[in-house]
Amino acid sequence: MLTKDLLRHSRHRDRIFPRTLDVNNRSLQTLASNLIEVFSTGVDLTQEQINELTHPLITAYRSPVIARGLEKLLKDRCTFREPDKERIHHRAKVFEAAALCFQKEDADDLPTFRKQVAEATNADDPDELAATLYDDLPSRLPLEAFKPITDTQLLHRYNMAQAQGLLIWAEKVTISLQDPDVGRRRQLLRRLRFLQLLASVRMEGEERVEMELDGPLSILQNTQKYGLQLAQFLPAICWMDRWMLRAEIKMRGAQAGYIELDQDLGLRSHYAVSSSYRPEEFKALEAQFRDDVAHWKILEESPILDLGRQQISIPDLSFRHKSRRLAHLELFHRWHKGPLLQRLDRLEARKGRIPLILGVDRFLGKDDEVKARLEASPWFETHGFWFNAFPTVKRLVGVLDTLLK
Amino acid sequence: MVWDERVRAFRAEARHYGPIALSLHRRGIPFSDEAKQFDKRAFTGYDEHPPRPHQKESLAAWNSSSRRGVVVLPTGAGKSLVARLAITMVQRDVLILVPTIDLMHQWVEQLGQVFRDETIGIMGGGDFQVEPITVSTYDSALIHMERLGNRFGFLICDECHHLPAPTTRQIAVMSMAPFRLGLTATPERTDGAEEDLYALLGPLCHRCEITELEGAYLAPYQLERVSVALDPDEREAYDIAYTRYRSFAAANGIHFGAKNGWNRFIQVCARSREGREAFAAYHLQKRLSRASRSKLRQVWSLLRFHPGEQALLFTDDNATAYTIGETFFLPVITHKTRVSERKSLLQAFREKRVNALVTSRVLNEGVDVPDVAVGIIVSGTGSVREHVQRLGRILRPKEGKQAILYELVSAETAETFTSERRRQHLAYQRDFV
Repeated sequence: MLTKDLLRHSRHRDRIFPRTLDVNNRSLQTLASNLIEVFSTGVDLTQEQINELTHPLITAYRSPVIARGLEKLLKDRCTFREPDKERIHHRAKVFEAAALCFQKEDADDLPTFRKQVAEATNADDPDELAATLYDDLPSRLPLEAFKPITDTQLLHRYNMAQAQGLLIWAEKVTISLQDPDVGRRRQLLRRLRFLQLLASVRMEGEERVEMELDGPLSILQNTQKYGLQLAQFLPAICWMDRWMLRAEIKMRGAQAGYIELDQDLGLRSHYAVSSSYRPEEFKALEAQFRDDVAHWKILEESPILDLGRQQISIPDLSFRHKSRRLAHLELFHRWHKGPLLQRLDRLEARKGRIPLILGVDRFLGKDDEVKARLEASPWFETHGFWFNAFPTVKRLVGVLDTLLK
Repeated sequence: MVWDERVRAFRAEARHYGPIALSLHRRGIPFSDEAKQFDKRAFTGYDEHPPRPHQKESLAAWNSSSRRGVVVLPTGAGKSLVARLAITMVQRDVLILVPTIDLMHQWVEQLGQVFRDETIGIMGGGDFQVEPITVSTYDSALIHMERLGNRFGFLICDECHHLPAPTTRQIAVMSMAPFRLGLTATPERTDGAEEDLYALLGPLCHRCEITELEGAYLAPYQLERVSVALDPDEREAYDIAYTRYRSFAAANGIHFGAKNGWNRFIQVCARSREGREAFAAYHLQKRLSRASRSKLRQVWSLLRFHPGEQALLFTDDNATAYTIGETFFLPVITHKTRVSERKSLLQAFREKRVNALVTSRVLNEGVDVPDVAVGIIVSGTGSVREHVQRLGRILRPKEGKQAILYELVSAETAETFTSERRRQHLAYQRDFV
């Protein structure tokens, strides 16, 4: 992702245009490949040394802000060595030894003083001691690994990052998309769930989906996290054949406006369309579920549930009981007040014909309206549960079993 | 106030809550208040030290200014005691804002000792606990203020000259607190935004300078400017680099004194090889003037001249700070230093297990380092505020203490002008040794 100072956009009246790059531009490709070269051959170099190598490339380019943006995306692909935690203790000992040596009468001469400190700390040589004293500073840690990328891929990532950077400031997002491939549509909706971006989703005919998401600025909790998740959804939208996204944007210190993006902008997704994608917390839950639970199995893929009245549900997880009965789980996180209330209405209207259990973040329970509604809901009383951060297997199985009664 | 047709009601920024509520109250207009989420409290402070005359005057002036306003006191003059007395006076949920994590922990510790019956809340550096008395960094408060703006009836801004920055000011805008106290040693800002400070917190209600308290409530001090000649090879390299970048700027019609002069220089430099060389030359001459070999030798001489005393060394940049640290095996505190290490280094310094501490800018303000009598400015900016704050670091009073601040200036370099600029303050209008 790009920081605010690296975003480039223009404006015509209220419309904001992310300034993307021509990925076929030769000079940009050269710049990208030169920068990639620095990082891909930079293993064992420190951040400081890498900066020294990229600095002339950045300042020499006609627009240093573009070059700095590309560099930032490459830095995001780097793993630097973790600092040695013992270094702090070692340093503290050196300082105290130096303070004692400083009090000696013959310490007036600097080389003598340095030698005394080296001896007191069992170092071979004062210069070597000095060179290692602060070698755990972030800028002095060496590069351990760099995830490879081509110049064209980097330029595509840059364009995507420009659009994503604006979405962090979105107040409201509407998305319309169309794709004949049902598998791709399903993956997109699953990604929407995993990013906890549940909002209003309507199916319009066989191939078209309409979504309305609340942006981070219209929600008062965990603003930045939600904004990042919203931005992470954009590459998944780009899987679709045809799509259009409109977002109301309100950047701090700037006039409000909107962006409209569609497939013609040429954004290319760097996500693979894969049913195996799972966030880490889901992977951990599934692993424990497999180990601990025999009578329920987690399904590889969840179906999209038609709740009627154009409402659909994209379960976070689906389960099959050994009796072949199916069950689904939907989780509602801290910013899902509206969708949760909507869901309760639908489930109660359908009078238990949908095998869906609901997990609700305890944070939502702080809201008086949500609390009152859930306390009064017979559905939630039987088939719902509260969780902190993420559900536990024990709690989940207990509520799944209620569907068997 | 503006009329919002969508909700068919008047809207106003949270900061106007106090005047609006007061105005309705005074006119006897009945109203229901669904915004306020702060309470009256019964804080009891157990301060061991009675306030000194200048602290009493500050508090009285602030109180008579409807408990809104800015108090200017020199570093070491006991601003935090004024704040604690104000908390006891106002008796409302209070949020104290500070610029750094070190200062936040320092405030939490001090408040915990004085308000023993209270748990002190903390927001910043990975902590988030809101209590009737809460201390936060400006950065954390900015993130949470849209949710917590109605939770506090009293807002205290320590080192409040930070507040008028374009984003930081939003904290005061989003706060409903009717009572506000700004504390600083130097309200003036280079962008002239101190007027904004008074609009956000209330008027300047009391001001006291270093010179008024020196000797009685601040340590007496001496200033010594040390002119340092560059070694011949560094002198030659400096002259070449200086001439190169200045000639380039002149050839491109760039005046550094003009508005955006520096930004224009960077832009023009990026466009050509000659420009990039000029930019490199600019950095070289700057590095030579602030961290020459002769300056390092001078630092060593000064440290040896005060062998039994603790010293704080200030630099303009991290690179110079670490060079000094590596040369003399001294602890360095910069913004890169981890919080835990910063704490333990400050502790070691307080306990005199180390006798000097090098810092770039993070210790310019706030952090309490009581016994330091020797300050060495190895390099700095032209900022008057920075210079006054650095002086303030060595003025905390102690029996028999005589403070001395050395300022190392590379002779016949641009540093001499920088030094002149930063000494434009009453505290520096005295004869140099």
